[in-house]
Amino acid sequence: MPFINDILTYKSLSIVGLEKNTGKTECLNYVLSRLKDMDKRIALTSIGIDGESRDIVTNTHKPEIRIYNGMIFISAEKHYLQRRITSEILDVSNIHTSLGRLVTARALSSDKVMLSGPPDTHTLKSLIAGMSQYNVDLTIVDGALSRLSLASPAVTEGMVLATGAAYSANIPELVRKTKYVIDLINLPEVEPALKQQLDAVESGILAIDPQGCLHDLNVQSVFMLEKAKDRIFSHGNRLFVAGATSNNLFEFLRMQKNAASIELIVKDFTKIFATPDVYYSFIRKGGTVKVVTRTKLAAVCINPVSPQGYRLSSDELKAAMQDALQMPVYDVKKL
Amino acid sequence: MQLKAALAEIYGLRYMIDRLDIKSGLAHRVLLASPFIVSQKELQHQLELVSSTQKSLCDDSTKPLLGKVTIKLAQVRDIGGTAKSIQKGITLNDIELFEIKSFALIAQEVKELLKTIPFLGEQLPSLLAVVELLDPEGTRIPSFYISSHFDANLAPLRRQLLGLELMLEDSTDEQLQRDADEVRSKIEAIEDGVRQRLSTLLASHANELAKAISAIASIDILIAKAKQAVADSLVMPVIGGETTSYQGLFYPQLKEVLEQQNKRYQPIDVEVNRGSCLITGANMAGKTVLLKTLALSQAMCQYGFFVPAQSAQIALVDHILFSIIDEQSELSGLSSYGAEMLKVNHIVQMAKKQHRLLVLIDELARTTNPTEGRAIVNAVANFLDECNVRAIITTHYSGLGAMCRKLRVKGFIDSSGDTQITIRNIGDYIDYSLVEDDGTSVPHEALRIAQILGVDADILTAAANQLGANLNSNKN
Repeated sequence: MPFINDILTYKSLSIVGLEKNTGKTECLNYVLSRLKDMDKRIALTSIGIDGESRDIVTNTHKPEIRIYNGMIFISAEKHYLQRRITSEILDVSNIHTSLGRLVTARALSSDKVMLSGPPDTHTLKSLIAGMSQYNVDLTIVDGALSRLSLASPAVTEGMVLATGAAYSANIPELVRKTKYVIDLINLPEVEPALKQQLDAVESGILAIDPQGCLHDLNVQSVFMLEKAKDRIFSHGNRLFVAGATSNNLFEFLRMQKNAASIELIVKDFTKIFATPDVYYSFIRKGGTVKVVTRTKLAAVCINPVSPQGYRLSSDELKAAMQDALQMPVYDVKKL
Repeated sequence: MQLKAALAEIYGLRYMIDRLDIKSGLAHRVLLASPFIVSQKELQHQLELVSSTQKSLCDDSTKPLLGKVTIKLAQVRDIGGTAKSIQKGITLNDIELFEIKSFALIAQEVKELLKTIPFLGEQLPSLLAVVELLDPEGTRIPSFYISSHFDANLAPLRRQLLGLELMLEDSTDEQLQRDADEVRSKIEAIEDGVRQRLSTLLASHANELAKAISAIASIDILIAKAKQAVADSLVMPVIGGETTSYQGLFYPQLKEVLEQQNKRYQPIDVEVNRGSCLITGANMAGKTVLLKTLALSQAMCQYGFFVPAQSAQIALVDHILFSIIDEQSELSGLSSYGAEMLKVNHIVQMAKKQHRLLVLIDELARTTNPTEGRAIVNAVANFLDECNVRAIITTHYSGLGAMCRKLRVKGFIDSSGDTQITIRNIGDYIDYSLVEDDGTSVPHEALRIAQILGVDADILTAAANQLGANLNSNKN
């Protein structure tokens, strides 16, 4: 039973697809079907609510998740009322999403369910923390890596990454693109004292001086960086960007004389939107990137089939991927 | 006027409401919809409830109970919408049934806790029947689903479905699938039947539910009001007489700001009689704050709050009418004078119709020339005096002929000697208390205050010279 025992060491886990149809749902269904026979209490939720509509666009089947008797799940009112599963409502939150309030329920039978969850990172975090009142051992988040989603799956302790032909139909290309995401996931965390300080910062760009003091540069986002170029290094070479980081930022940092001593800190790896070439050329110049919250990569799953009909060789892809990533890789179709 | 609307009109009221420690969104909604109480009997009842709640909060035997009640209140959801659906006979869904159940459970727990505080507990009707209806197992746990206790036919069908689903996990047999779907639709039909039955039965309890909802909100609001009365040193006003009289009246927001800066706040004593009253006083002597405080205090009283004073006697009014200058009127296309006159006209029209009014006008006609301005002040003061409404008008004009009561803010204390008065300590050198005055002359402190504020000496000297020249020419 691959990687299930690893998963059980976490209190929270997100399962994230690099693209639609990279096998995230299969992966999640596999994990749940294995967990159901273990003596563990599982809770399930999802990030955001856009899954349904996008699936209508690509015309693939709806990502319903199979939930087993006794598991706790969270879904928005609208999806909850559409359910077929027999379940007992435990709580209705005051948090409103576009599909209504979030309902926490315990499954009393086993069936497929549409999941929907908190719309932002903060709510997701407190929701995961709140699961302890139901003695939940592991909270699983059906995640998404998208700039459209405000909630970041990186708040979970562990992460399972699903990648596959839908992300790229060319094996070396797919491996390279996946390797990039995994490099980002594995970025080191800042020291605990700084982590605590930066956790509370929700916006803006801050400079961190050698004494560890924070200085707000009064720049709202990296898109306004032009206006602050002259002040950026007035407190040393460490920078914290609370929001998204773009190619522009990485290019700007790379071109500086002090590039080799620059340390860029982001909230978590999902905040890096630079393309691989731009990111790596900053790293090659000697720059450092760190995160405030790091999530541990628990497993990588591949789906060799794409919805457009490409079918890559499972074994070849798996071997290439394992070789590049130096960690075990699983084919969701063979789990 | 509902409290919600008054928030926009009465200065400082929002500050007090925002600081109320209200636990549930339900109570917050009910509070904002609370009416301006003009009936003495009703208001007296409200104020006495706040007073009794305050006593219970300070009593060691009941204080812990109220603590537990507030924890329960924090779990209350606003089921106002669901309660309406019940009354209209709409079939409720599981989420709504869950809400009713958890509300009823909380209400029952609160009722139990309040057994020894009957004046609060008695407001709350028993929802035991609702609890028993939605919790047939008697677990008293706030979770909900259509369990087989609601319909005995559910259990065997659900067992059957579970068996079929187990088989379907390892098979794609179409017959099995059809069987499962058939069982599912049977279950669904029974569940819908249960929902309809529960909704119909709940409809017969709609009155108790509605009463319980408003009682829960009222308990929450009362506890919050009583807590605020203790924390902010508010006092229960004596109401219903013909006099409005305050000892130690204060403006809570300003008091707190000054206290944070370790500065002195001077509460004042004031009476608001029928008829007009003109108040003069130096700039920065607190005339505007006085008007705001009077409006705030009157509003708080008639929305059922204690008031910011050491002791207070308040005559009830039907409306509080306010004209204060720091309002934006440019956007409506009127000059500040134009906007003020329209407002004053509104006040005059109201005063013609009824006399239970509190009228507060700040620096009437100050934005026009002094000759006509003085005439307007006299006219309005005389008119309101005749209408016998409670009107207070502040002004800088001297020699006002109106035959009404006149007060003056004492103003600058003669500072002996060495301490330099600056913009920082100016408050320490002003006596904000009110004294009776004949109104023939008004304080001339404008230049002195400008000097303290650090206005350029060139201007001050020139202005002083001008004054001197005027005096001389008057003498000649």
